[in-house]
Amino acid sequence: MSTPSLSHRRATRAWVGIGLLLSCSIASAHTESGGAGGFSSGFLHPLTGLDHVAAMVAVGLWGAFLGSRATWLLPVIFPMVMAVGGALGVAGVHIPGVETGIALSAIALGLMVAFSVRPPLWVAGVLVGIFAIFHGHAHGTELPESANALAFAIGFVISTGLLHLCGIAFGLLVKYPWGKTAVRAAGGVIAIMGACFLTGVL
Amino acid sequence: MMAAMTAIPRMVEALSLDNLCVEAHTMIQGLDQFENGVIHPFLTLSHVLLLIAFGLLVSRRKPFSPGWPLLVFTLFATAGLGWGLGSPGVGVPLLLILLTTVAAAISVTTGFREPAAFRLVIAGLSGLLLGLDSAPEAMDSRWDAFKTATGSWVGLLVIVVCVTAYTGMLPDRKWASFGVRIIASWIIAISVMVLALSFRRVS
Repeated sequence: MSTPSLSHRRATRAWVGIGLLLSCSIASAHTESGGAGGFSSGFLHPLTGLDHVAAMVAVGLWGAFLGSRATWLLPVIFPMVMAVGGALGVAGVHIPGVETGIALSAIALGLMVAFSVRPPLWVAGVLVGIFAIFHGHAHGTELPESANALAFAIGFVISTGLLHLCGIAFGLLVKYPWGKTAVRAAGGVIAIMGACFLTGVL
Repeated sequence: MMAAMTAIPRMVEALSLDNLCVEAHTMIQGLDQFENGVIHPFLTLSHVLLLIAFGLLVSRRKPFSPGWPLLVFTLFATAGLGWGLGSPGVGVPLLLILLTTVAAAISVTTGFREPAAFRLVIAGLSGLLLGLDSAPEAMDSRWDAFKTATGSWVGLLVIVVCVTAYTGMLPDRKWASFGVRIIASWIIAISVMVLALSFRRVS
């Protein structure tokens, strides 16, 4: 059984982690020029775009918030469908409104958490899958022509997955009474960030 | 003994990100044929993905019983390496390796209670494909080729045994099951991306 001091330390670590995530550069990852390549570039690619970070964390957050099978199902669906989106991007298939879709993903997922929306599991899965297409396509169009493009793909899938895990870790705080409020507040923050991305404020 | 003590740091140093994704049997300077063979599976993305997927497939079920799949894998890997030694330059299409990877990873991700025969088929297929793909290309000396192949055999077994053992040691808890499924989904995602990139290179 956790002592109050241990809970407080865990909560502090969670907030520090969230603060570190949010303090990363707000420069969009969707740079016009190439220049990306290699594992480290792929790993950093989702992290250097706050829109990606927000949505990835939101997926893990919502999964943990929904609980049960959603905890693993949403973080499983997202990378797989994202890879399909990435393949479409690599193949040069045009998807309209990718940036808008990415911003909307943060808004939608953040609001789901903020308002404690608990749809059927299949609805949550479909919603996450749709947004994953946009994220994957954005990554896919920026994959480099260089030989290290394979390492780039590994890097960004792992980075995406780790962001999900951050969201899950924070979402598990719902087991505490104050944790539910904290998780819903985090969802609200993500939704506001998404609105800022959509309107160009961020 | 001294040679063995210096070999491991050299091999670890060779496992740099710059050497990742080497698909051809590029010899790393500073390592001998056996050492190059050992690190070859570590540097070949498609091999690593399949070995991890296979290891997860074999070890996730309780009770932990990877014996027969690992034995089948070893036998077929040996056969594949022998075949490749006898016929240098026989390659394995990347598509086959990645499809086997995805088949194993999908089973792990979905939690499908596959029959034992499925695991044995994946074991045999994985061993054969990886063994064949790990066989060295034509070398001046057959002894050098044999040393490289033996090193590759060791490298393959090290990876698969480690993945199997560490996964098998995970406690029978929800978080462990979730983690294994999530990692398997990453493998599927990476495989899909690798396939897409391969087709882009071809086109």
